[in-house]
Amino acid sequence: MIAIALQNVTFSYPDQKPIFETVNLRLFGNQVITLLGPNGSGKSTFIKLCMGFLAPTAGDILFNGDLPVKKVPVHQIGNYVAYVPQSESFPYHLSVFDYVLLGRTGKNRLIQMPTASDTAVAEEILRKIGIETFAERSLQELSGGEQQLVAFARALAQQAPFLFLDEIAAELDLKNTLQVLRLIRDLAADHTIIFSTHDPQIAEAISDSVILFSPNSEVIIGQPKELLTSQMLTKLYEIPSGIIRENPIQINWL
Amino acid sequence: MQKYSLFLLLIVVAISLMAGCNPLTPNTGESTITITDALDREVTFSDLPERIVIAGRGTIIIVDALLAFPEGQQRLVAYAKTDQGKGSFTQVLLPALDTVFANDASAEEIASHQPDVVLLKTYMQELGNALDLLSIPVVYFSMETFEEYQNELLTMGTLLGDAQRAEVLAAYYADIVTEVEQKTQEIAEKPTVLFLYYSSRDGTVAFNVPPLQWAQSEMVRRAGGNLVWSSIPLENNWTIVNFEQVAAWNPDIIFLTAYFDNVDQIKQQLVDDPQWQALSAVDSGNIYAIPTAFYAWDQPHTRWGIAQLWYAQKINPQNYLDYDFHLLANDFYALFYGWSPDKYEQVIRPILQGDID
Amino acid sequence: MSQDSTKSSKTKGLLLLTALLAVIALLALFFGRYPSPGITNPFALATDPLGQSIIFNLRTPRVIAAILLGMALGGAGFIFQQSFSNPLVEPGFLGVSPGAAFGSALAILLFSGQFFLIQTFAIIFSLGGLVLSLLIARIIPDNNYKLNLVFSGIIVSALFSAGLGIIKYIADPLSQLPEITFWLLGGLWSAAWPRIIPIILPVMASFLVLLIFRWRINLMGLDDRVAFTSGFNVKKEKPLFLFFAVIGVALLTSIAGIVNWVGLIVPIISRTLFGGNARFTLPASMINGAIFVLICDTIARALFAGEVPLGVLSALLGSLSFLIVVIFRRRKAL
Repeated sequence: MIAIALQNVTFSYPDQKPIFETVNLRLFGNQVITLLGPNGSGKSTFIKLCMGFLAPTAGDILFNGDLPVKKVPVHQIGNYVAYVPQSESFPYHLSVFDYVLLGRTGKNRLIQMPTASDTAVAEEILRKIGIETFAERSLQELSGGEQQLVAFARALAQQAPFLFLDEIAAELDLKNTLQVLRLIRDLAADHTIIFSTHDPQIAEAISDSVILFSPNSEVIIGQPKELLTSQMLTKLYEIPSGIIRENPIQINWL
Repeated sequence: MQKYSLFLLLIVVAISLMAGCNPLTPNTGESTITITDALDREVTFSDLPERIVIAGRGTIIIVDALLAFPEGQQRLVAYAKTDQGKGSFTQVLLPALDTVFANDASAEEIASHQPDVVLLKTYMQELGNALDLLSIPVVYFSMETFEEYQNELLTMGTLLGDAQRAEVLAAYYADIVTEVEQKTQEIAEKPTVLFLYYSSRDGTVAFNVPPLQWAQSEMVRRAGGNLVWSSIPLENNWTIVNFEQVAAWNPDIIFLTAYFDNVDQIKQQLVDDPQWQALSAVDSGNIYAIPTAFYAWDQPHTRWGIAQLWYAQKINPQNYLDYDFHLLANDFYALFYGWSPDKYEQVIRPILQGDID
Repeated sequence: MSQDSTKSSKTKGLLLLTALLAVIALLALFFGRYPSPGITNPFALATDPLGQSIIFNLRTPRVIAAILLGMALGGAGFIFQQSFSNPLVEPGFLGVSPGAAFGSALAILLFSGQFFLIQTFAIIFSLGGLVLSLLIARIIPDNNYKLNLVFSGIIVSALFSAGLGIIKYIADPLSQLPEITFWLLGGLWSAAWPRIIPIILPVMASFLVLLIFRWRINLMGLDDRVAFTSGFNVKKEKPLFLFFAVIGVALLTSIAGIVNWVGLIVPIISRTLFGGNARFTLPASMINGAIFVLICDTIARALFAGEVPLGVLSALLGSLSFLIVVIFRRRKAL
């Protein structure tokens, strides 16, 4: 089974107190796992650890139960994990299509140019997300929301089982947010999606599992129904909060 | 593997051949002339070069020496600018020759004058190397000291096929140097001397002293001067000194030159300046403007013989009473360039600046 | 499919540029100041050994050097601009050019005339400048690595400029100083076979590497984390590609001195024509650079009797081109 396992993972930046201590959990299955917590609680760090971008100070992170992340050759990382950041600097004046093709790089040999099948995959993904008209536009011309979708396309082009989305909804307007969330639910059918947000409403809307990141380095994994309670949320955000589930105003947005 | 090594070997050989290619192939026939130039290079010619070109920087030294030979005047076909801002002496000597090019002309440009030989100063080796590549013979000259003049005048004579003339010219300098050195030995106490070059380029005024190894310092030393500026750290070029330093030295004699200004005017400015009046050299009237016509005479072009005597007279007047420098200059121009006294009066005398009377 | 047609039109564009370069190179060989300023009649050369010598010993190595210099600057400029997502950087800015300048001047001062040493020093200090810039950028306590690099580039350049000033102060004014000064304005006047031959192979090898990996070089412009998940080893590959880009620049700078503007403006123009994908624009930038420098250098050596410093012409033509590009850009290529 494809899984990312954290075993007794502790992480701290040099000369700072630990962000996580002895965390044990597994990320697996075709589902949406939401990382929820206030800003600065370590969600981004957690993602970077799981991707293999950062190394834990103690403990191990394993792919498929037995392959330590640090032993995976860098060129093959893309076969396991794909990543979309909240914001990124784009290569200068690259077209959307070429940028999406960059996602295919890990599939080919080091000096290989994109193949016909790479092009086909990229076209298919652009169609699926509904941005095939963007193909020849320059990355710098796009709006924030459009750029986010394009970044999504690039990540999808990797066809990796794990998709890490780092606070991507934070700066989108409503229309784009809905579009992205709908896409995430669709993709959950055949990916493990790890999606971080600080908005409990979004978490409630799309999660299959939730990981709470509290400011005191506690990390709790569980089901939305048990974790997204008034009690947990108040503790998390340190202000009275909760999610109303009885007789909610139903917005048919999913 | 073997084919590969052989291939590599061929490449290495090809590259070495190209890199080591020496365009100066030795003459298979009998070489008529072999000379050793100022860089100790041996250059051979099968015939006397008929078309001589002088290029690069510092050309006035070589040009004035070459034109002291009648053959030189005939065979010079092109030269790099010799005008130092006061006119072209070369034009006076060769009014019909107007093939003058820039001091920074490229090898290609020089080649377009079809030279049989190119004469360069010793520090123009970059240009010389480029000319080597075109198989154009290059002869380097230095001619900044007495010894160099003795050797290189002879080299020039060989190059022109007139060793006799070279000896005449060399003897002229030898006589002067012998005389001055002898009289300098008789000086009991050498006066302290300061050599100053006044420059006002870029709008800022600067007083500069020359490095000890330059001709300017050498000639003053030979004339019996005790160089006050030998104690400070000097660069390889003119070193700027400020007035405080000059006042601290307070030399007995000051020699003043100004390549791009009127030296008489500059001297007058200093003499009128109360600060400078406090110096004993100025107070006692021992500040002298170095004579300048087309070129300031302190530079080591052909006139340095007169300059040497002139310094000697200022430093040690008793030994040079009745020396008439206009007469000496006259004799120089007659000997070197075949001038009549009239020509000196018409051409040089009117533009002559400096303390020469 | 539109992708294929874009690809083929860009490929045709590259072939056209290459042909243009070949034509200009041929013309340059027959243009100069011998026997008189202007075009050299090739038929007259048959009976003119001096003319033949000029073409073979002076002009040919020089044309080759100009082409290599242009390719190095165009290529490195493009890669730098991509890596730092900034169209206003050029290869010199990370201490590469000032380092090469300082190293060469130092060698001229210490071992005047020994060209092999001058080249070696140029390369050492040029790469040293790059390393120093990268190190300093890491030390600066701030997370914006790309901005840090700009700062460290300024620091390193200032350091080398100061060192250069000291060297100029000490240098012999008759032989060394004019050489140093002229060289700092850039010029290919010393590009003869003995200097060109040793560097042709390493320079072409570095070009080959960059061209072979040109798709991967696109990854250099990505966010570090994104690049990581695309399989790009940021810590190892980025410095490696930067070094390969810099090698050509360092080697050619040791011969040609500092030539500004080419590495800045040529990639920008190339992006206007070919887009931002290194697959086409890296070779385009290299060929455009070669054309640009070749034209500048031919003017530099033929316009007047004396050499016009190449840096002056590249600045002049470069700034004019920049102006035109900025005014008339159709795509937002900047």
